[in-house]
Amino acid sequence: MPRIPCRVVRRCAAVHPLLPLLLAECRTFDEARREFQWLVDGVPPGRRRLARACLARHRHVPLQYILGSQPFGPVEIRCRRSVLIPRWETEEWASALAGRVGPGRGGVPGGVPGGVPGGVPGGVPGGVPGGVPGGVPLRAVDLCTGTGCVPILLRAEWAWAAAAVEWLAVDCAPAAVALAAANERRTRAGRSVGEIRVVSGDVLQGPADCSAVPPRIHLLTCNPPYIPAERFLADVSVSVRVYEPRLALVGELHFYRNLVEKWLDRTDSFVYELGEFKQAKYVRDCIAADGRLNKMWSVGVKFDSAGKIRCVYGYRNDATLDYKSIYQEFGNLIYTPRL
Amino acid sequence: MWMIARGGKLLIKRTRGVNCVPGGLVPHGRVFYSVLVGDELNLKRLPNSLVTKAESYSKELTLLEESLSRGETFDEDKQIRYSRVSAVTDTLGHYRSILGNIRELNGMMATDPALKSEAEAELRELIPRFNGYAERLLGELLPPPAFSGKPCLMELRPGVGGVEAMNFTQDLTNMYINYAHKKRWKYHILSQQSNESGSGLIAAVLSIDEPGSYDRLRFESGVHRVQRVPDTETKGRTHTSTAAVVVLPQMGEESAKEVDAYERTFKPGEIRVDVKRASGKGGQHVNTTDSAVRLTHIPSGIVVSMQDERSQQKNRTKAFTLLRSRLAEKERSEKEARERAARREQVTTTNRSDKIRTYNYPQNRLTDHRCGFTLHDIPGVLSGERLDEVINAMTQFNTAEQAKRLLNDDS
Repeated sequence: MPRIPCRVVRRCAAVHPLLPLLLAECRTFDEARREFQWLVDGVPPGRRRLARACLARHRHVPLQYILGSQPFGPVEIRCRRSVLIPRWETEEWASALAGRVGPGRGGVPGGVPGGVPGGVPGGVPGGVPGGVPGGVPLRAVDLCTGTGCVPILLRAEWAWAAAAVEWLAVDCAPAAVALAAANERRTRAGRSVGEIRVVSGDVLQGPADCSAVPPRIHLLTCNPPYIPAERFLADVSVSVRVYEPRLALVGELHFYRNLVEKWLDRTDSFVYELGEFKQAKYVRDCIAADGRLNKMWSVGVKFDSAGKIRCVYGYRNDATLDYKSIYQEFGNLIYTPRL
Repeated sequence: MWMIARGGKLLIKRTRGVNCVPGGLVPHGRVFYSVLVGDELNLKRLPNSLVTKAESYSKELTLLEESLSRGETFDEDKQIRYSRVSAVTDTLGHYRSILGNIRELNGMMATDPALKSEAEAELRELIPRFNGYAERLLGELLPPPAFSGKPCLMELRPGVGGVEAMNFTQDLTNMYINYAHKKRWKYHILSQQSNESGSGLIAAVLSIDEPGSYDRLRFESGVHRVQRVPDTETKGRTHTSTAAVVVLPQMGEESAKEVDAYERTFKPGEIRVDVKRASGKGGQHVNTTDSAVRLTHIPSGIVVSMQDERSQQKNRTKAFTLLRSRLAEKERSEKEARERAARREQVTTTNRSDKIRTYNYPQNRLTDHRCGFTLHDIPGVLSGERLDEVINAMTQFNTAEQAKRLLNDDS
């Protein structure tokens, strides 16, 4: 990383004596100025508090831990130490997913928000009233939920259908479970419908370990730890390495293997965030190699707006809902079932 | 009865069949003089062509009334037209009846000097009323300006003059904020970038949320020039700097939900959304706080970027607000330019020159170059207290200009 020129430091110091402290993370004058404004707005008033916040930032403490929150789509997610901070990449694919399954999108017949009392407008996948044939609500499960950001964003985007979705969020870390539950309550804003159940459980043990997991999952989302241990020191920035929980970061193929082995049987469609193509390829190869799965599943990958591979997703072609049209423009398919 | 005033002298061509000149050569000439100088001169009669136009409205009114009274269907456009037409007819009625009265009184004075003082008193009362109706009628005949009911966005940027121009941009921004305060209009600062020393602004976007504020403030757009001794000047020289103000109509209510709808009102491929992304691994590897959004409207080449908020969605909403306003303004000015080109030979226009106003501090003078209005109270204007006077002068000037155009169109 190039060093910061003296003149930038001086330029910052001329504006405010605390500003050079922010350069450690921000690197440029403009960025530092902007972040300083956010700190001024977000930290409770008082010179010493502001100074402490800037010093913390100098020590690479994430801005979200200092300010206590991160905007995520339409909602504000609270952040606390020892829980992973939601990333813009996650926000991006979760918003795209919400758009795909929303009313009138992706070939799904447009539903009228809140049009059908007690039921579900046609916006639910396949345009089937009542969510899924047989009056079953849409069941969405988020694994390794952390702050709970993914289901909270989806729920905020589908506010009209909140009652028609059964939400479940699972995490193994007690801090994450508590924070996700708090975020869930805060963003629900008094409405009794659409509660996201947040439970503690070990995802790697599979659904059998957790009785809260429904027998059939229509949408399985997950942002598992995906940084290979040997790349941890080389690739991960200081701020993340020192202050964010290693538990939420380091993993390689574990969760993808776990997906194929333990979760796929109960699932109609899934979206998993990832860091490398290897992980998507692994999922595809596992499905292609399995004599039963390779006749049912389509697998695709999604790239983020920085051009990096970001998600692997898949859906069953023989499911009750028309997942093909739902995921049509979500990403690029890399595997279609052999018939 | 035609009167032309030139250099304070009154020339009366013909008054009710009696030829007379001021100075008392003609019987009752003096009498006329005193009445006419005080009042008749100020009589703002509309040209006949405009009155004829207004009359055509009253014919239309009867037709409209007929069709509306049948009440077969409710046509909103027709209702709006009806209310406009009936307002014009109403005003025309008042205009005519008062004009009739004035004529009668004049005739009375000419024939019977005994009633002179009474008639004069009555005239003094009638003439301002008549002028009021004449102005109202003129206003009603002119087409309403585009986006007149909209709230507005004001973009301010320094022009030539370095730091001093930035300081002046700050002063202007404060002036509009004060003005909004004074009017009790809701406003917020959409984005603001200070210069390094913090004394001035590099750019500011104010959103004035009051409906109709666009109509009030639209003449503020242009280059504002300041002449003063800057704080930074050591030798006491006066500098001239400028700041540019752009006033845009604000289209519709903006909320995070609706931005999505807006995106869809653009054709696919028309807008390119760029988000600033650092290179590198991304995802869990780094934790960036960057949320800048840049929109490019490909057909027009307009680029808008927004980075002030932590939330990318909010930046996006703001950027779309700004882009839509800029597009609307562009369309409006293009339309205006077309209209202007059509009558270039005939009319001088309000915004041919870009420099619209000068703030001269040493003389404590503010001059609007379009209408020639001058006011000697810079602090009063910058505090927003007397800005209304400047805007009123400009509005009146514009009405007069438009009336001229209307007349040219008719002739």
